[in-house]
Amino acid sequence: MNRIYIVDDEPDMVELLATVLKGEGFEVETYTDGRAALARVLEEPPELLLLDLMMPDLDGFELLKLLRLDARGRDVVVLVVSARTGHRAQLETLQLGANAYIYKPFSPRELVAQVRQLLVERGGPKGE
Amino acid sequence: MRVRARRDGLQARMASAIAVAVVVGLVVGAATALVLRPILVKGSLGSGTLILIAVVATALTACALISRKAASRLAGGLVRNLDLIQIGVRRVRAGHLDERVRLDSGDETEDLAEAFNLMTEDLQESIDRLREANRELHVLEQVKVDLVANVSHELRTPLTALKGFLELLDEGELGPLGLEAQRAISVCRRNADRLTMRVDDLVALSQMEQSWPDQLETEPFDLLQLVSMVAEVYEMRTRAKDIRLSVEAPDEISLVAGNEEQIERAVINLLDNAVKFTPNGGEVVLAVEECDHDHREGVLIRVVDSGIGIPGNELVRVFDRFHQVDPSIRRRFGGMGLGLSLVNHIVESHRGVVWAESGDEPGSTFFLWLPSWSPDGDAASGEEGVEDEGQRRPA
Repeated sequence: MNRIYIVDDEPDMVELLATVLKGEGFEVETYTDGRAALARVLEEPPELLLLDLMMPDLDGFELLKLLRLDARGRDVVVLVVSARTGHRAQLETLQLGANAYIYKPFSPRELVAQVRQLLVERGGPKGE
Repeated sequence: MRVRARRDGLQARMASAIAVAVVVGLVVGAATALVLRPILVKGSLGSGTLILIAVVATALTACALISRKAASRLAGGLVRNLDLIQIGVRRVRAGHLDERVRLDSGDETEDLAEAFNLMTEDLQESIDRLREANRELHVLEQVKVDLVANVSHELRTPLTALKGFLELLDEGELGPLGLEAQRAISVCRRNADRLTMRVDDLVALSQMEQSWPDQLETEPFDLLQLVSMVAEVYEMRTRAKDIRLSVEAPDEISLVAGNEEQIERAVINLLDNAVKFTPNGGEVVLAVEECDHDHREGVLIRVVDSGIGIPGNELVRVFDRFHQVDPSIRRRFGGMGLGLSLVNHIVESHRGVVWAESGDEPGSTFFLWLPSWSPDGDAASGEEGVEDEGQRRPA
């Protein structure tokens, strides 16, 4: 089963993402704090990380940077979920090593499709 | 302006030079007469007359010589000083506002130089003030854009949670729903979608005002496809209000050049407006056809609604930002100013035209005209200028 970690400082967003992905049969862990999420990812890397950008303390950009600097976090697929529209934030996160970017607001169906696509590219989904 | 003659000015100097010349002339004349007296008295004329003639002649000659010398010296100084002032003027014209002309001539040219310096100082101060005001304006503009971006960012996250759960509910992912609940959820979803669109409009408009149209990516595209896609998306909304949405389109149409995403936004906004103002059970027509405008080939989109219509004097103003025809309409139907002003922005940046018509019949028609794309030249950068603000109808 594919394990997905969700990091977003908004509990409601976390709940939505978790509900959607659990409904699709993924194993989900949720974090509202960037540092705790990073520690957990490095301890036991998931197949995919859903990452919010604008978070207090350790934001998505920093988390991504630190993740890619560490050998244990290098292969984790990162899907950035952000309310920041425009090419700049998207380009910046992709340059930092994110695998894909999805704008808020998105539909759950859109998100699931994107997650599955990324997992297929990574080496076959094991969900459901 | 009153000019006061200086005590040491050019006039005074000329007067004193002439006075000196006269005195010197008289003295020289008298001296000459004294010297020539023994010779002159031997002649036939009376000695007094001869002496007078000699004195006057010599005095006039001396006067003329001295005046000429004085005048040429005065003129020389004058020309030099005027040259210096002229150089100063040229430097200021070239943008050197710190230029000052220093003259110590003690005459009117010094006054002129001083006046020039004062004027340049004032000019510099005014320009500095304007520059500062302009800079502040730019900062404010940026603050506004940032504010809109921040607000939209703040709105997007709750919208995502709202829309996401509504979709899950609507699709029965969270358990079965009764008919009433299903209907309520549909209403919520539609409105969450509209809220999202307004947020997008707001951001698009604020960005557009700042950086449009330099960053516009354009390519040729088919408006027929766009129209049928938009109509399909809109079916759900029109069905909910029991509005009949009909599409009138030929089989083929020439391509237009532009940013498809932006044009889609414009068409959606027009359609959204039409659906909003059409009462339940009414009809909305979305038509597309080839049509010339102002001797240019292009494609015309018509959005016809059977709503309350727009008074004639308001037809142009509906495209103004935040404008609403009547406050009571605003209360009944919600804002439409933002959407239409965005349409106007988008279409004008594509060198197109948008206008509205409303006759005696109920309802109004919105027209959106875009120039055709031609392979040899980008239609969006054609030879014609952008339409005047007020002119939104074809000639």
